[in-house]
Amino acid sequence: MNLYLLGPELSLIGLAFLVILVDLATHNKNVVAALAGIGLVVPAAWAVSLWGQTASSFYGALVVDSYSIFFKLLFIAAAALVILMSVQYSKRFAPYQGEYYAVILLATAGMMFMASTQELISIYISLELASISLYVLASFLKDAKSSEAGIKYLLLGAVSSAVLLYGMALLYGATGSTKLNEIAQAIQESMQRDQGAVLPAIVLGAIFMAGGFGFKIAAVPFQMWAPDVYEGAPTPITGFLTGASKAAGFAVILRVFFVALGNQAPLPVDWPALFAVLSALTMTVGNLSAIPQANIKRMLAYSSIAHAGFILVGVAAFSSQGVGGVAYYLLGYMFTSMGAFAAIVAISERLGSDQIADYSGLARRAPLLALILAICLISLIGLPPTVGFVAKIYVFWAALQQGLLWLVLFGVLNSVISAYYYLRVVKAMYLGAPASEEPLPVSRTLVVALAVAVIAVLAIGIFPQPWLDFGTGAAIVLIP
Amino acid sequence: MPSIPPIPIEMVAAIFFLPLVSLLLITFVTRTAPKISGYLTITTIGLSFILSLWTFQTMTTMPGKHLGGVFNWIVIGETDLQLGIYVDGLTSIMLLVVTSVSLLVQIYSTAYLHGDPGYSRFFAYMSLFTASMLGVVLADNLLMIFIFWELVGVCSYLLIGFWFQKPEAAAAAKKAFVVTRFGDLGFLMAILLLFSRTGTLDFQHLFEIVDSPEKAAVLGGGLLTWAAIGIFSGAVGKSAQFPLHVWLPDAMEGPTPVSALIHAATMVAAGVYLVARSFPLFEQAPQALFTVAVIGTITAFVGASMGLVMHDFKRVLAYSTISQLGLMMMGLGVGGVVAGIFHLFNHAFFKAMMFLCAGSAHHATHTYDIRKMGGLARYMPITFSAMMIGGLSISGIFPFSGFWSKDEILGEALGNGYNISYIFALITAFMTAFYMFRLTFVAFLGEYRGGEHAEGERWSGSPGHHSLHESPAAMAIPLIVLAIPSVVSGFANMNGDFARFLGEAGVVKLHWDVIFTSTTVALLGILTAYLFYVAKVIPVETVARTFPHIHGFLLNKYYMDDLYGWIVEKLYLGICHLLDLFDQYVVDGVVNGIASLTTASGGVIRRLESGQVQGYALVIFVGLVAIVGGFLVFGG
Repeated sequence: MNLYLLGPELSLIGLAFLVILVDLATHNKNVVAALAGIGLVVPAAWAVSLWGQTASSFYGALVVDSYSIFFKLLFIAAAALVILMSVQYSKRFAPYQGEYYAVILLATAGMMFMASTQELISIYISLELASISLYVLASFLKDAKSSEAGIKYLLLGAVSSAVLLYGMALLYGATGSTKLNEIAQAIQESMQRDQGAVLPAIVLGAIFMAGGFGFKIAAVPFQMWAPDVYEGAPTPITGFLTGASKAAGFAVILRVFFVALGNQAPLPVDWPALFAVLSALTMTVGNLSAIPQANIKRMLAYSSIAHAGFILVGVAAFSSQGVGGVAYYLLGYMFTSMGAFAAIVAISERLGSDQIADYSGLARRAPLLALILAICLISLIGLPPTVGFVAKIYVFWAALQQGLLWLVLFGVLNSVISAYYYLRVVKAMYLGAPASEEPLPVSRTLVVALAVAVIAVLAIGIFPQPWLDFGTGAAIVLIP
Repeated sequence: MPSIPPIPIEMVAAIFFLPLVSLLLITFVTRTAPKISGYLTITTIGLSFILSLWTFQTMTTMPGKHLGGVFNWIVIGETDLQLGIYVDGLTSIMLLVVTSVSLLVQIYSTAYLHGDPGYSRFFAYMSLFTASMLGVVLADNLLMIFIFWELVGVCSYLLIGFWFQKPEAAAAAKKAFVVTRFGDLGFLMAILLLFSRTGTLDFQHLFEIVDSPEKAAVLGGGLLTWAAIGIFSGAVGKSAQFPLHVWLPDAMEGPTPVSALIHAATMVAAGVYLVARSFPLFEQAPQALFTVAVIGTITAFVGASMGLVMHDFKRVLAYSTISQLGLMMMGLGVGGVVAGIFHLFNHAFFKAMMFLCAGSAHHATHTYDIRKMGGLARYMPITFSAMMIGGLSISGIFPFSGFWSKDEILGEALGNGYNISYIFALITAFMTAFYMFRLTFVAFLGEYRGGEHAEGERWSGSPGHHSLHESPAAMAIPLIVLAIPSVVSGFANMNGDFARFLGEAGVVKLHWDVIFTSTTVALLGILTAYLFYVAKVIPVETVARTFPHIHGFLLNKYYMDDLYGWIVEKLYLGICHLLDLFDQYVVDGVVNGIASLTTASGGVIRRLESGQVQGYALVIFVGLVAIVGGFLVFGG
């Protein structure tokens, strides 16, 4: 048992408690935010120092490899951006900022565990750590919509957890193990023994687990909660849900399905086909529902569903390029959606509205803010020179390699449809008449968040190669 | 003398990045401090110029070789897209031309645009243009060239329309952008064709493929010819070749420094550069090369003939530019790469100088109409001298630079059996000498006719009119500096050095018959202009009245604009009208059908998205059951 390997998570949890303690001692909540934000350097540095190792701990339940470290760094970056976005925003729920930051850190720790586990029970527990923290965060505003969001998220999350646990139980019952690699071996052996026949419990278990994880990533038909929760939650948390929580869901899906159910030949369950169908459904439903939305948070909620569909294209490709593409896509999408939500936070702080109609003429009142939001939206469409472009090209290409032409055609068609509703916002900002000429100032911490996000969107998009290498380096763990 | 080390490739890359830095700094920092913006641009381009000199020096030590650097941009499986730099003699000459002319034009602009509200914006655009143009020159593959090619197009659009409040400027910018787009379409198709057949856009790879008979089979069946013609069509648009030349005269609506840099010395020469850069492709496609020669000849002739009758200082120069670009293309087409590029090199300096003269004259008189000028020589000796040098150079009078390169082009045409091109080029030379000296004589000799206030009547003020003066130093010095290469740059190839530098055989043939003929023709042209406009032995109006049809034909620019107007109005809009009917009754019908279907299904989805938690949970379970059902039906 090597606690050193758990350093990033443990230091993060320690940081969360420290934040609560300091919060008790001071009335200056900016100090708390600064502590939470700067404190992230410790787990980040720790995670970087573990880069290149492959080691496991807790009897093989937890593993440290390039795949998990990739995601850990992604979550830490997301947490840092959320904290930057929240400094001003969190005044709305004063004096509880300390708890707010602490819960964000705990949620991050949960996600980091999710990326690191290879055992069903630990997966479930870390998923619950992340989820319960997020239920709390979603209802933090305590107004009608936010409370509704928290309750809905909690109830439906519980339903999905039940589904997930049922799937895990079935898989355990059929194979006698909760460890992913042992499950894989047990399935392999039973298939050899029974001339390729697969126990129905395994198929059912796989489907239920796909359902449970599908809820986390908001894939159709498990997406119904997303718009309500995304709209009602505090906006920085909405960014966190789309950028980090979704990535955590994908991190688990990839590991569970590739390690436990992807190492046999032939596959016991044709889950790539399942994900391909879910992918097509998800992007189509997400995009079509986004079109009529008037509230930008709700629109981006549906957009986030659609993006889950695009990312699933890479999962369905079931290849190392596919996994690399998913990792790169998640990284890029995290920065893009964080940037977009940071811009929304900045705008709603001044306008007090999230209605797209109120964005009219924004380019004249806040030219830089409008430009950043436009760049993020362009990245969401998937146009160069942004990260969204390379990400889409890469997952589509991975799918083409596996002969999934129909899915790629679906994806391209959906990208074109999606341009309509994103560009509607850009059009309003640049061509609409402003309600007043008064400029909109942006608070300093938000400027930092916006700058980091937009620079990442452009830099990772213009110089994609090191990041693609980073992503494929993570993918090698799953597909040697 | 201590030897200078060869330039590292990072420094070559810096030539491109420096103006980009100035663009970013102006946009984000110094936008509100115009003076600093100007100096910033001058400094960065000056540094680029110094680095270009270093590149040039390095290349002289290694004739026929090249420098290169490649950066893997993105690797997708086997296909990797690379960004790379390719520097050979041709590149380093173009670098010198672009950075030196750009530097002088920026210095000139600080005075020319003094006090303009868009001063910072101007220098930001100019920085972007210079960077993009350097990108075209440095790129080692067609895709990169295409990207920068479009970027210089955008800059040209922005700068022609710099004074966008003027409707003519806005219209001219749009026209330039749209017309060149036609050529770029062919260019893009050529790129796609080459990539789909060979899998590479890298010049060296492409050249290897077309040079080896086995590999060239992938481009057999005339595909190579089509690819080359496609590339050439891009050049036709950008270099204002017939029949896409119509945008260049209108582009004169932009500020004069822009005309000098973009529409005389660099961007319009990019087409010539592109053909020269991809010349190995053309060499293997004789029909394409023949097309280049024919289009070049027509352009040279047509451009010069229209220059005969224009009254606007800058428009005369614009038609002259078209004509000279045609001459360069003709040079390439008849097989003389060195001759064509040599003429590009010489032309860049003297034509930029003449445009700056136009700006200088305008600075004093506030008009571009030469009929309202006159007698400027007395007040603006520097501008007048520069105009004379430019005129002698473009007419091809010994020892000015134009003499040497024009002689080479004519010699190549005659030597390679393009007799018709040769004859047309001689006629062009006559017309060139005529219109250029017509311009100089009318604007600079005789009596001053009052500038912008003349309005047709004779100006009757005192001859020592106080508003007439030589331009400030920032404008005059670039004229003087540009005059130097206009006189001496022709000697660069006297021993074949220039040719050897380009990696060609440096054999210099002095074509005495050509020299004699072309010089005679040019002198005749100058003499005719003298008789018409100074000695006034032959009354101009009489000639115009004697040949009213030809005069009108030229004055109306061969009715090309009217033809295009007619095509757009009658043919194109007619087709549009038909399509509109189709759209209204067929497409809209289908779309409306789909729309009502979507609305209906949206209603269904909305009912699902009711906010009812029980309903949502139900969907999850129904979904799961459906998936299990799917597996049961289709098998796991």
